[in-house]
Amino acid sequence: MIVGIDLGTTHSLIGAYTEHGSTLFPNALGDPLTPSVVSVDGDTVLVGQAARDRLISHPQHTVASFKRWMGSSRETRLGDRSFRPEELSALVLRSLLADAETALGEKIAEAVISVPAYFSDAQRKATRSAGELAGVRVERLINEPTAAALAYGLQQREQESRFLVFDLGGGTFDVSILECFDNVFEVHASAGDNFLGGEDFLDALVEAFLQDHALRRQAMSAQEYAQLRRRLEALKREVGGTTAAPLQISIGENSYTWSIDEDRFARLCEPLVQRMRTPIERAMRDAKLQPTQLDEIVLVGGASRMPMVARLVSRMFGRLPLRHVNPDQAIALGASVAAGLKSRNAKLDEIILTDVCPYTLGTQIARCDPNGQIHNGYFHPIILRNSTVPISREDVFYPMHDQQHQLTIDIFQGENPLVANNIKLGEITLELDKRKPNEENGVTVRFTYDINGLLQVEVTELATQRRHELLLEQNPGLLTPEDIRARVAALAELKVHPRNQQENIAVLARAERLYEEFMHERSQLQDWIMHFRATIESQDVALIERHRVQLLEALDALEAQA
Amino acid sequence: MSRALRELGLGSDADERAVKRAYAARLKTTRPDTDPEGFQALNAAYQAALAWVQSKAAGANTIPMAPEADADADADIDTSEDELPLGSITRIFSQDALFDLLNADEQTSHHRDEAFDHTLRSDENIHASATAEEERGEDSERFNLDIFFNDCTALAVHSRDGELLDWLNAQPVLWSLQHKAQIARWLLGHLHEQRPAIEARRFDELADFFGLLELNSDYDAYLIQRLRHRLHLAWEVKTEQLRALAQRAAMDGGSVSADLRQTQRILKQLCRPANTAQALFAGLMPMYPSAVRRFLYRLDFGNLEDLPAPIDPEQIAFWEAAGDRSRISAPRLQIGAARCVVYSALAVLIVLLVKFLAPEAQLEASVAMNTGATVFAAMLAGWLALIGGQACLDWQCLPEDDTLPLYWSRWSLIPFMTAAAVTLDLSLRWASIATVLSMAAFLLAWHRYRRRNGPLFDLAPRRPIWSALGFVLAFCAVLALLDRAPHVLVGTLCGLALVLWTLDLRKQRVVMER
Repeated sequence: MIVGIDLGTTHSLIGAYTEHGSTLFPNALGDPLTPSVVSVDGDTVLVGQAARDRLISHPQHTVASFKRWMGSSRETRLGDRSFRPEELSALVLRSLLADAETALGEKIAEAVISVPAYFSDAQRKATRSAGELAGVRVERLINEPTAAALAYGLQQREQESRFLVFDLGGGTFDVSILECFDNVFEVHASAGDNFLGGEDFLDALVEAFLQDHALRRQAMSAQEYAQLRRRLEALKREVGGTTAAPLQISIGENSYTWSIDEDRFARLCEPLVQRMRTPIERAMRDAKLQPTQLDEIVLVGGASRMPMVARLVSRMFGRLPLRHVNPDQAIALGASVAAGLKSRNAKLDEIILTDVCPYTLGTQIARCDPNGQIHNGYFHPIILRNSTVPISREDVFYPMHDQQHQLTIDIFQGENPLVANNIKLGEITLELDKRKPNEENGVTVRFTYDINGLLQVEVTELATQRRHELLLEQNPGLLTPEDIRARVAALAELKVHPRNQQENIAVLARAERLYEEFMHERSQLQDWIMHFRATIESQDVALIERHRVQLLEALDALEAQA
Repeated sequence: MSRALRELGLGSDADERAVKRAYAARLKTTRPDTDPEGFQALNAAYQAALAWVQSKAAGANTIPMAPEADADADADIDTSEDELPLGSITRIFSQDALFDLLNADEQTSHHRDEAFDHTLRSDENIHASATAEEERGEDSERFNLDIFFNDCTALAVHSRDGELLDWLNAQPVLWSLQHKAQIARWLLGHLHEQRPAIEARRFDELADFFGLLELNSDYDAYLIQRLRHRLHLAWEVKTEQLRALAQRAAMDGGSVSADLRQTQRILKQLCRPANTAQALFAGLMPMYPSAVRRFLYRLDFGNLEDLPAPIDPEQIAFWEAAGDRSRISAPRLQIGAARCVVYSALAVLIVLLVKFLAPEAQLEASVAMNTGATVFAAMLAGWLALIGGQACLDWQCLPEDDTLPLYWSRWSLIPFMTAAAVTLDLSLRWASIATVLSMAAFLLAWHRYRRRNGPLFDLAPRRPIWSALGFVLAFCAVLALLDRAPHVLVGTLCGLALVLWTLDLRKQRVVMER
C-alpha cells in the first residue's frame, strides 16, 4: 500500500486510496490534522498537538514551521541535540506513518509526498531525504495544487473543465491552472511564492500588536511570545467572521486588551496580498488564458479562508471563488489519489496526470545589436517554464570569435532575461579547436528534465561528436546518502511515546500550557497535573481513562471561561 | 501542421474536442511515467495540433469581423494581441475604444457577479463581492487614461523609492488581469513616444509591476532593455548626472574623460542651440572635437539618431563630422581653417608684443607678418599632411575586397614605395629621401598588418603615435650605427615592409575565401 502525505508548514495529514476512495487516517487523538510541530523531552520526541502545546510551556525544546527551511542546512537546537529541517520533517512523517500503520494494520514502505509547486530542486531533494530518514521510499513528489486539483477534479470527472487552484497554506503560496478532460488532468501552468502563507499574516498581526502597545519582541520571554502568537492566531481566524472579540492577554506584570477590525487587518496585510498578484498574473499569462475562460477558481489551504483572499480573487477575476472543497484536507486527499495512481489502483486506472516544470532553465548568451555592439549576459531559455514534463530540448551555440579556444556553457534557472538576476546552477567549459572558424566550432546543448524534476545537461561538439555531461554542483544544503544512513541511526535512538499513551501526553501538555497562560489558576492546575501524573504511574487503564476525561472537561471549562 | 493531426489519427477537419479526445485515448498507452520518449512525441503532436485547430478557429472568427472593429471591441483586441514588437508600438485603438472596453467589461463582470451571488451566496462571499463591486463602481466613474498616464509618468520621473510601486498597487483598475495587460501595452507605447526622463530604478519598478521582463511576456527583452537604457540616459542628461555620464564616456576603462569638468563642458556645449561661430571657437582647443565625438558615440552605444532631448541635433551633426578624423567634412575644414587663422594671428601678436616690449631688438614690422605667414603655412602644411597621411592609412587598412575601385593601387602601394626607395637609394643622390620613403613603407605595412590581423607580437603600445615615436627613436639609433652603410638600412626596411605586406595579404586571402 502506498500512502499519500501532505507535509504542511502548520499541519500534516496522511491518507491512502482504499476501496472507499481516498481516506484520511486520524492520529491518536482522533484528528486527521496533525500539527507539524516537534518537541523534545529528554530523549523522547513529541509530535503533533502535544508538541504544539509545549511551544508555550517549553519553547526552547519545541520547533514549528520548519518546512520553510527545507533545502537549507540550517540546524535547530532542541535540548541537547540539533536537528536539520529534513530530520524534523522525518519525525513528523514517522508519527504520521505510525497513525496510518495502526489504521491499515500493515507496514508501510512507500509514500507519495506533496510539495509546493514552486519548490526548488534542493527543496524537493530535501523532502525526499526526509522520507528516507523516516524509513519510507518516496515514490513520487506531487505538487500541492495539482494534488488539490486531483481531489477536486475527481468529483466532476464527467465534464471538461479548466480551473485555477489557489493554494495558500501556512507557509507557501501556489497557483496552478489545470484542465481536465476525458480523465486526463493536464497542468497548464504553475507559479508561486515559497515564503508567503498564513504565518506571514500572523506575523503582521503580531507586529501590529507589539507596535500598538510599544512592546519589544526582545523584551518578552519565549513563553510569552509563543503565547501571544497562539492567541493572535486564534484572533486571526475570527477576524472577518461576524464578531471578533477583543483579545485579553497578560504579558509579564501587565495585561493588555486589543481588538482589530477587518479593515485594519486588511490594511496590515495589503503588502502580502500584493505579493500574491504576481504569481497569479504569471500563471495566467503562461497558460495563455483570459479570466473568462476559466470555469472555476478553487481555494485550498487553511489560510485561504481569510476574507481578503476571496476579495483578491474577485477583484482580479471579476468573479467569486469556489469553496466547496475542504481547504485543509484537499491536498492530502489528492496526494492519496496520486498514491492510488502510483500503485495502479484499478479504479483509477483511467486517470492520467501530466505536470509541468515550474522554472525556466537555460544558458547565457551574448547579443549583437544593429550597430554591431555586443551585449553580454542575456539569458537564453532552453526549457521554458510550464512546459509539460518529461521534456528534453536542445539548442546549438557557436563561439563568438574566430580563434576562440574555450567555450563556457553556463546553466541558469530563473525567469529574468538577464542572467545576473537568475540562479546559476553550474557551468561546463570546453576546449575548442583554435584553427577552425567559429561556424565549425558549434556545440549542441541538450537539457533533459524528467518527471521527478531532475535536470541533466549534455553538451555535444558538432565537429567531433564528443560528448560532455554536466554534473551539477553538489548543493551544500543537501545530505549525501552516507549522511542519511548515519542520521537514520541517530534518529532511531529517539523514543516516541507508545500510541496508547499519546492521549494522556496530549492532555498533560495542554494542562502545562494552561499553567503558563493562566496566572491565577496556577496552583489549581499544578494540583491537577500532579494528580494525573500519579494516576498514569498507577498503570490502571480504566482509572486513567476516567481521570483523563475529567481533567479534559475541567480544562475545557477553564478555557471557555476565559 | 496537419502532420501533427495525422499523428493523432485525425483528419484536417478535426476540432479542438476531437484533438483532445484523441490525445486522451493515446495517453492511456503512452504514459509519461513509463514511456517518457513516446510521451514527449505525443505531447508535441498534441500541442501542435491544438495550436493549429485553435488558430484555424480564431481565423474563422476574426476575419469577417476585422472591418467592423468598432462594433466588437473584444475581437479588435484579440487580433491585435499577437503581433506588435515593442519597436513598432502604435496606438492600436482609439482611447475612447479602450475606455468603452474597460466600462463594458465592468458591466459584464457586474452581471456575472450577480449571477454568482444568486447561486452561491455564503456569508463571506457576500461581503467580498460587495466591497469589490463598490470599488468597481467608483473607478468606472473615475478612471481616465490620460490622467493615468500623466500621473504615472510624473511619479516615475519624480518619485522616490517605493512611491511609484505603492501608487501602482493602489490603482483599482490594475487589479483586473485583463485591464492590466492592456494598460501595460499602452504605457509602453506612451513611454516610447514621449521619452520621459525616467531613472533605471524607476523603470525597473514599472517593468516588474507590469511583468514586462517576464520571459514570455509579449515583449522582446532586448527592446525593453533599450527603452530602459534610453530613458535612463535621458534622465542622466537632464539631471546632469556628471559622474555617470563621465563613466559612460570612459567606457573602455580608458582615462579619457573620467574628468568631471570635461564632461560638464562637453554636455553644456552639446545642449546649446547651434551657433557656428561659438562652435568654431570651442573647436580651437586641440583634441576637443574628437573628445566630443567620442562622448557622443559612447552615450548610447554609438546610436546618434535620437539622443535625448536637451542635446541639440544640429550640435550632434556638427561635432560628429568635426571629430571624425577619417573623413574630410565641412565642419572639419572650418575648424582647421579657424585654427590656422587664429594661431598665425597669435604668432603675429606675439612678435608685435616682443617688438613693443623690447624696442632695442629693432624688429621690423614685416618680420611679424613673415612669422605669421610662416606659422600659417607650416600649420596648413602639417595639417594637410596629417589628414593626407591618415586618409592614406585608412584607405590602406580597409578590409580586403577586390570589388572596390582602385583596388590594384591599394594593393600595389607598398611594393611601389619600396621599389621607389631602393631606386632612389641606389642613385645615392637622394639617399635621405629614400630612407624616409622606406621607413614610411615599413610603418605603413606594419600598421596595415596590425589593423587588419591583430598584433604580430604584443610588444608595441596601443596608440599608433607611441609606436611611431618608438620607431623613430629606434631608427635614429640604427642610423647612428649604420652611418657608413646607408644602403643596408633602406634595404632592411624595404625587406621588412615587403615581408609584412606578403604575410598580411596571405592572411587576408584566407579571410576572403571563407
